[in-house]
Amino acid sequence: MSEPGARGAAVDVSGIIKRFGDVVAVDAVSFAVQPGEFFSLLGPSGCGKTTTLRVIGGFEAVDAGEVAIDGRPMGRLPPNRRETNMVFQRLALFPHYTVHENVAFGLRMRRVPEPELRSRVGQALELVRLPGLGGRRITELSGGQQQRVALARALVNRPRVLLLDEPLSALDLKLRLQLQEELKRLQRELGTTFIYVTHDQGEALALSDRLGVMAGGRVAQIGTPMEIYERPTSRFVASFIGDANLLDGVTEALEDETVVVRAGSVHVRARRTGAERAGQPVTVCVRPERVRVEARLDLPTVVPARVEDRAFSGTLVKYRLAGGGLRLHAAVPYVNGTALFDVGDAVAAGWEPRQAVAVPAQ
Amino acid sequence: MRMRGALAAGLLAPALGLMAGVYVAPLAVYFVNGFHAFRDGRILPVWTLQTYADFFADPFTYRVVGTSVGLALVVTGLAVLVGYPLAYALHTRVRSRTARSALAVLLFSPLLVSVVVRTYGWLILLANQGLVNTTLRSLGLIDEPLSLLFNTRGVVVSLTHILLPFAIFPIYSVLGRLDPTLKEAARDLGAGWGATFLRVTLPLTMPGVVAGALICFTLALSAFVTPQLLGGGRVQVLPLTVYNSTVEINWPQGAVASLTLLALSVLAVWVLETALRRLPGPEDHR
Amino acid sequence: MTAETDRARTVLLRSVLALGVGFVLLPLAIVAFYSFSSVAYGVFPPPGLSLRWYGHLLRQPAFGWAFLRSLGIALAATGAALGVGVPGALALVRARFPGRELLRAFLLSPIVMPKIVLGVGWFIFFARLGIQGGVAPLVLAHTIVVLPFVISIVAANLVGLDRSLEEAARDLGASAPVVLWRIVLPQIRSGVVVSALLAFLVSFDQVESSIFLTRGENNTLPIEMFLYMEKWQDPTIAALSALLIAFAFVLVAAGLVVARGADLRRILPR
Repeated sequence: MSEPGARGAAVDVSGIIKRFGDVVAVDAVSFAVQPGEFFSLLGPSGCGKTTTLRVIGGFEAVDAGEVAIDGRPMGRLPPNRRETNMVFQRLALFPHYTVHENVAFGLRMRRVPEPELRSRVGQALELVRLPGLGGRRITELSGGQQQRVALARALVNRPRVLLLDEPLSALDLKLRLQLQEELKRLQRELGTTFIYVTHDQGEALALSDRLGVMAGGRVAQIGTPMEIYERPTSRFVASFIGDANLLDGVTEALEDETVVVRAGSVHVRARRTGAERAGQPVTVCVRPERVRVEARLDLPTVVPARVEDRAFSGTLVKYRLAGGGLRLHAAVPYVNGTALFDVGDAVAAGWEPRQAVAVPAQ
Repeated sequence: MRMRGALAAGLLAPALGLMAGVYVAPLAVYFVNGFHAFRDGRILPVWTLQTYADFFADPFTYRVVGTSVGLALVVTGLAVLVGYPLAYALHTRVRSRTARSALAVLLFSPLLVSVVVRTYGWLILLANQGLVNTTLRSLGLIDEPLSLLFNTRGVVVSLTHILLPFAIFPIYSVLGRLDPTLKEAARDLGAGWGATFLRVTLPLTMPGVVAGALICFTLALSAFVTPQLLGGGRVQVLPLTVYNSTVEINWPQGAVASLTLLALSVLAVWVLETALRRLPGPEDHR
Repeated sequence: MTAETDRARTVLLRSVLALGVGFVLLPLAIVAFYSFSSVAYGVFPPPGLSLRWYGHLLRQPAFGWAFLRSLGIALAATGAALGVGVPGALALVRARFPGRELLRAFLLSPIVMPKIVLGVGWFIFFARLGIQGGVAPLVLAHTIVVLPFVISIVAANLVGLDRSLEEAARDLGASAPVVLWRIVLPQIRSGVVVSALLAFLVSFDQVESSIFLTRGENNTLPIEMFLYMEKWQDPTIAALSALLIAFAFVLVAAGLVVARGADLRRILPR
């Protein structure tokens, strides 16, 4: 829990609890988003990320906790009095208005004079790369175009914080990637604080300055994409983000910078974070790209193994290995001259301890 | 799996036969009467347009048409004006589904009872010593009882009451199909309750309003029992003209009046259906 | 807008709703109440309560016969409308042929037709055929009046059905008529019941479509009441009306029990 308004944050969420009947959708969630940051809430369906977003926007009342924007506590202010604007998952574009009227709506509510309104709408449409489409009806636009209108409609009001609720989830892959780039560019250009909700971890990692991983109504970890990826603090985060080898074991010894874990029938090493104790059940997480596969290896952690399967994916060779009572996935970059191992070969698999992390077992 | 033509024909034959014999034939025979003449209390089966000419030359005709259309417009307007808030309240401010069903049944219930009974109820309510006048007097709002019966006022009130459920249900139905995120989007963009209602809810529920108005108008136009029982002879509408003509055996005139009534109904249906097709509905996105 | 104004709005709208329901039920309530008045003239509040009008009602056999006649005609017309309308709806929904929409509009057109026009038309027609005043013209007329209700409700129910059930039946060897009888009809049962109920009530309530088809001694109930009310307005009619109101509510309760669990929005069209 932190005091609302601390740390000069653009958005400060502290101790939010939200119940729907017996279900606790958001369970004591706290985080702070810095001004100008692209912050994402990432998690599987039902983890409470959309509810949290809606709380920030003023669409849901909380049972406990506080939301502060620029240090001002929001209390029970309704959405139309907050300095936030939302891009809804199903866009919610007004079907009976043209593109221009949709984008102008917020400005009209604020009684912006007509000439200024027209110029700002034009600018907003230029910003989202839809110049001159003001006169079209919503039903005449493609999915990608509608998406941009929804963005323009929110951004034209120059909100302090833009809230985005899985805006790209209904689009096909190519369009999604294209719009992801545009969103990132927009955010950089405008410098507006973005809070983005998604279940797609690739999207979150690509777009965000920082992200919060949520599960079961709680925040599992907050950090930069790099931190989340390289140093997950829980098994859930490690398995949700990217591929990971998850080796369950018990901490046996603590060395200067590494921790020795007995997993399966071998000892493996991981980076020491300082929170480990001997005898503690842990899960060692190491990314497949960090697992080296050679005939012979000279590393602190080496596991003798046998190749069970090999798959080729363009730039990578993916091995499935078994050894020492463990199952390992390795992804080795393929360049000309790389030795390839066949199924059944005996190999040595290993990694640098600082490339692996041990998280408390759950 | 499309149904085979032979089977379809077989299934439709009884309905078509019934309609041809008991619907088209009688109406055709009846409307032919409009081309006959009526003189000295007898119908002369000659072909003539005189009945039409007389009917449309008579200023009384225009008074009757005016009363019919005017009455229908007024009660339709009232039914929609009263019905919309009721439909809105039912849809947005009643949480439990059982309460909503119960209230819907209650609002619908007068339709289960004969229009004669309902009109009779108004006869009692609007009498000089009836509930309405007694209450108003005891509240000190009036000194003399208001004359609400056997004139247009009573007919308007009673007819509005009868038409109200027909206005409420189409509006309620279209409110149910309105995407709630549209309202949230409006709020997010700064609209208060009033602006959200006027700019989002109302325009997108117009199809329901028009559908309700259509039903109410056509029913009001052809209303017979209520104007007859509560109008005291002062509310002359087309159905009464048809009735009176028939009683006087002046079937040609009755037929002409009937056709006029039918034409007005069809015109109203055509106008409102066209309006309905032009309106954006609550589901016209993606 | 704040939470307080929202609450005030809720209170206001709920009061409006309560007033609306009150307005809607008011005439029915007053009729029931008035039937217990001790005097013949219309005065509110009545000086005393009494059951004399119910007694007076029971001594008027005309109403009893009229009720039975209305009942019989309504049952016959409902049966005929179902027998003719359900197959018709099936064909309208399932078959494709040119002019189908026109045919549908035609079959539904009696709803738009002013009933008085139909009434006079039937009078002249059946008088020409020499059978005006009998029961048959009334049944035929009422069937035409209620047919559109049956067709539109049953058609709406048919549109929402899962066709793969019928395809499975065909695959297992059933012919088209058997599929209709054993697979389709059972699924639309609640829609058929609702339309039958509605048809019954509409037929029972017919006045202007039937007023020229009766002959004094064989009036239907609403016509009998209508003619009585043109002359007298004593509470005998109130007593009869109160009984009819109770009858209608019993029918609806029965209908709700039969259609229990069925989603009304799927059964009723539009």
